[in-house]
Amino acid sequence: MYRMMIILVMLIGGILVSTVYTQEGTRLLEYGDIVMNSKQEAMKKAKVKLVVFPHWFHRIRYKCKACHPKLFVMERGANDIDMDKIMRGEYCGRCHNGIVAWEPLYCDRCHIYEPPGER
Amino acid sequence: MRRQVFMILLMGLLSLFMAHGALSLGKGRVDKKDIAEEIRKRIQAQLIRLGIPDPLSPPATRGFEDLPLALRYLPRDPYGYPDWTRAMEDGLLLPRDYIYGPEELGKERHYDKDVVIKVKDEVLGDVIFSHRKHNYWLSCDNCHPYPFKEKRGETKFTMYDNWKGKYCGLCHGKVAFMLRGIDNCLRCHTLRRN
Repeated sequence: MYRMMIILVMLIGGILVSTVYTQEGTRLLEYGDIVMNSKQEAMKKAKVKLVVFPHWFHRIRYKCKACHPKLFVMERGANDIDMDKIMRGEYCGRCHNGIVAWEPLYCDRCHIYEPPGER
Repeated sequence: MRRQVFMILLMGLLSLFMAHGALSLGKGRVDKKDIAEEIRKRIQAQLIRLGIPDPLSPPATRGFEDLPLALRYLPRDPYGYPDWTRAMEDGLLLPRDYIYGPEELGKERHYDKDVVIKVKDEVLGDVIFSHRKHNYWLSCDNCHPYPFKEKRGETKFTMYDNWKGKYCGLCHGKVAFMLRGIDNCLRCHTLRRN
C-alpha cells in the first residue's frame, strides 16, 4: 500500500517537474546583449545580419576592465569598428585572432540578429 | 501498527513544516509589497511626467531552462538572473583582468571603501556603495571622472536619472542587474535608519 503511494507521489512529482523544465526558451536576445546597428546600412549592403555582442557570455571569463575603456569606449556608436580593423587585430580582433579565441572567419557566429520587422 | 503511527507522525511534522514555510513566505511578501506600494504612490506622478516605465513591476522571471547554458549554474537572484557579485564572492568565477598581460591595465589602483549615498526618502534606506564589489569588475577610469566625479558629494543625481540610463543606469539596466522590482531596490538601499 505504502509502496503504491510512494510510486504515485513520485509519478505526479515527475510529471510536474518535467512540465516546468521543458518549457521552450524562445528568447533571441539575452539580457545584456548589445545589438550593433550603427553601421546597419553597410551591413545590409554586404548582406549580413546585425552583430550581437553577448556581454554575459564574455563576463564569465573576463572582467569589464579587460576591454573597457581601452579597447571599447563605453558608449553606443562611439567605437568605429569594421571587419578590416578586426582582421588587423583591433577591437574584437584583439582576442578573436585564432590565438586567444576563434578567428574572425565565421560570419554567422556574430552576424546573427535580424530586427523583428525585417524577417 | 508501529509503522502506521510513525508515518502519521511524519506526515504531521511535514505538514507543520510546510505550513510554517508558507506563512513566513507570505509575511515577507506582504511586507515588501507594502513598501513597493508606498514607493509607487510617491513617485508615480513624476514617473508619468518623465515617461519612465513603472520600475516597481518586477522584471520577467527567468527559469533554469530559460537561461543560456553557460549561465545556468551560477548563483541566481530572486528573479532568476545570474547574481554576478555572489558568484565572485563564492569564488565560482575567475574572470581575467587583462587579455595578454598585466601591463595592459597600467597603474591599477585598488580602492575598497564603502560610500554611503544619502537618499531623500523615508521609506527606502540609504545606499551603501561598495567600491570593493565594483572595483573587482571595473577599473577606476570606467566611472571617474565621468559619470561620477571623484570628490565625495560633488555629483548629485536622482533615481529618475538612473532609470533614464544616466549615472548608475549606465550599467544597471544594461549589463548589471536591473533597476526594477522591489527585490532589486533593496539590493542597494540597504542602510536602515531609525
